[in-house]
Amino acid sequence: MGILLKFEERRISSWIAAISPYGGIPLAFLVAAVIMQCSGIAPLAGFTSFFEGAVLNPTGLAVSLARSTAFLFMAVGIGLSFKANVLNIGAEGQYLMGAIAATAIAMVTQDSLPLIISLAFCLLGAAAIGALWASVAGYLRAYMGVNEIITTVMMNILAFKILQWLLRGPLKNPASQQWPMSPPLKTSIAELVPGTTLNAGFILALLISIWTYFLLYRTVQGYKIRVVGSNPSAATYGGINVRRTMVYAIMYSGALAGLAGAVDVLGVFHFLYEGISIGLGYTSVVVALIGKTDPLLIVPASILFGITYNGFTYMQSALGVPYTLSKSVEGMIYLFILLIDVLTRYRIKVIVK
Amino acid sequence: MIQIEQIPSIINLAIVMATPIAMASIGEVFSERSGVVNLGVEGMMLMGAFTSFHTAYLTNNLPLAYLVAVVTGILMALIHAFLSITLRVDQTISGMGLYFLGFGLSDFLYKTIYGSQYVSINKTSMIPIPLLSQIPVLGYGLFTNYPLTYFTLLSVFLAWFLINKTRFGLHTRAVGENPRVADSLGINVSTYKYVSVVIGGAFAGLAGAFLCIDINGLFYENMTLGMGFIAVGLVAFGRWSPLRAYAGSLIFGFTWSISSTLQGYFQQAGFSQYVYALLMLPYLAVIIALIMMSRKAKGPAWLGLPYYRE
Repeated sequence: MGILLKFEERRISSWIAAISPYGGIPLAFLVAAVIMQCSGIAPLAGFTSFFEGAVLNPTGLAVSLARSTAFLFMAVGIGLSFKANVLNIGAEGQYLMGAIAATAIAMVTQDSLPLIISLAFCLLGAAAIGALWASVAGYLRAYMGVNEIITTVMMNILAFKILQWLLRGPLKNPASQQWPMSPPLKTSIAELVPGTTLNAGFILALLISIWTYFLLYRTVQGYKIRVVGSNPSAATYGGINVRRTMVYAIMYSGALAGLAGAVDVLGVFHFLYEGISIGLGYTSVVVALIGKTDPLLIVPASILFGITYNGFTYMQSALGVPYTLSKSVEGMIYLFILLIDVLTRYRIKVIVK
Repeated sequence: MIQIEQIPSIINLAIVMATPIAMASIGEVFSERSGVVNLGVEGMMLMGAFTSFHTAYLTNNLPLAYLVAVVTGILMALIHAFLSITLRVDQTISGMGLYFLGFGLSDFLYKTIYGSQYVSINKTSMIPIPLLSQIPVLGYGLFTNYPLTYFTLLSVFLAWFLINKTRFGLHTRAVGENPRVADSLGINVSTYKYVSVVIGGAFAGLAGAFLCIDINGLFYENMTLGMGFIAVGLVAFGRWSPLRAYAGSLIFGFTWSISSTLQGYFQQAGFSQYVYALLMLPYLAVIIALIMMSRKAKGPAWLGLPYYRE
């Protein structure tokens, strides 16, 4: 007597494939509602403040979009590296390094150069440092076979320690005695909606995701990345340098994460502090997965996560729900997506012998 | 700098810090020997840490707290087992999901129940082993330690024995090396994988409890500090042997212990900002260790791959 599960692959339209991951979101919210009920918070009131705060008023929506900017940058990059079969969990650290680089360059150049040129240097510097930081893990994976997930997580911790150190050293604001933070920065990214944190970085992120789509599907480099990810041995026979392509993919991803850090520092906060990234890089991995690692499908996914993040912030201030509820919801969304993915792709038959 | 008198306490702290990583690593060795990579160790540790903290706070019963952590680890591991063994979801992706879940849920539950202040619980105390603890230097370093540290040292050998010298170990290795052959010999592949992943979860949960109840005496957000990921890395470092994985955890333990001993000197000398650079050393040491062993690391043949019965 034994139970056997039999998997039969079924054909599904690309539409269903693109939309089905979103099914994970209501399911996760449902579980979140149960958890809230159990911990004595009225779920209905919670989700009312969630939507009123993050979607139903213009300012709130603008802030949600501002929040989604970093996700968009990072998830597009993570998606591209996934395509080359390199799992970049290090967006968190690359984001921090980008934020540090942008702050440092702004502090040096903002008084001597026109602000627009200073901004250009900041963005380029952040992208370069992000790419460099990511390349270490990429190199170790491609040339020495060290698991990139472990090294990127280690490097996230290293980046955070560097941030803590610099905020008490060279990047310290002498006027702030209590909290370690950088001085306010004059170099900044233009606001899109006055009075909110939504800035031109959002447009840049959109442009980059469109560009990344073209890179992946219309260029030789993109073709190489996709072949390396889907069939490395075929790539080797086809004369593609698999290792170099892997390093390229993770560096591209690191550059975008670095840009995300720069955009958040210069467009949203206008200074650097320790709590600038509360696991944004990890969330972006989930976002990339919902968007099926496709640069264009990642756009709605990041906006949705921007809304989720912002919504939970409102819920926290309205009802005192810890914001980390959003983190466990993310984990659940992620696991539900995996489940849905299997259920849509296969017909499962239970055979009892 | 470091004085001679400090050496026993440096050894002691090194062993203590190595313990949670070693524990989680032993569990992951089982899991990976059966062919299942579980990258969610960090998440399982965090959940184990939280549930043990909560139990210890409510009941003040530490053995019960350890038990609850083990059960929590097992339940978390079952999620991964179901997704990756039964539904054949990519193990890497499923393991990351487990990490995200544990990371968010443990902190959410803590903040919902305790708010954002730190709450301490009674820590487990160190127990000196009679006679052995009288040995100079090593006596305090090695033989005056937490009960779970001794348990971990024992488990290292037990795990080695179980994997290499028993029928269960042989079957588990067969499942990881070649499930097709194992299956044809009548070994139930899924059952062995499930059991191995569950053993991994139990150890990870306990590792979280050790970190929370023995080392810290409190719970805080993301308190595992990457140790779960280090544990997974050390399995490859130790070439899938519990003995060598333990040796790997000592690298982290000793660098941690030495750099936190030096921390005080840095602060006295007025270099307090460089303390953070000092605290990077344990993680750098792990990365270097992984690089050095990477060429020799070759795991079970079916590691990470799903098995389909034809």
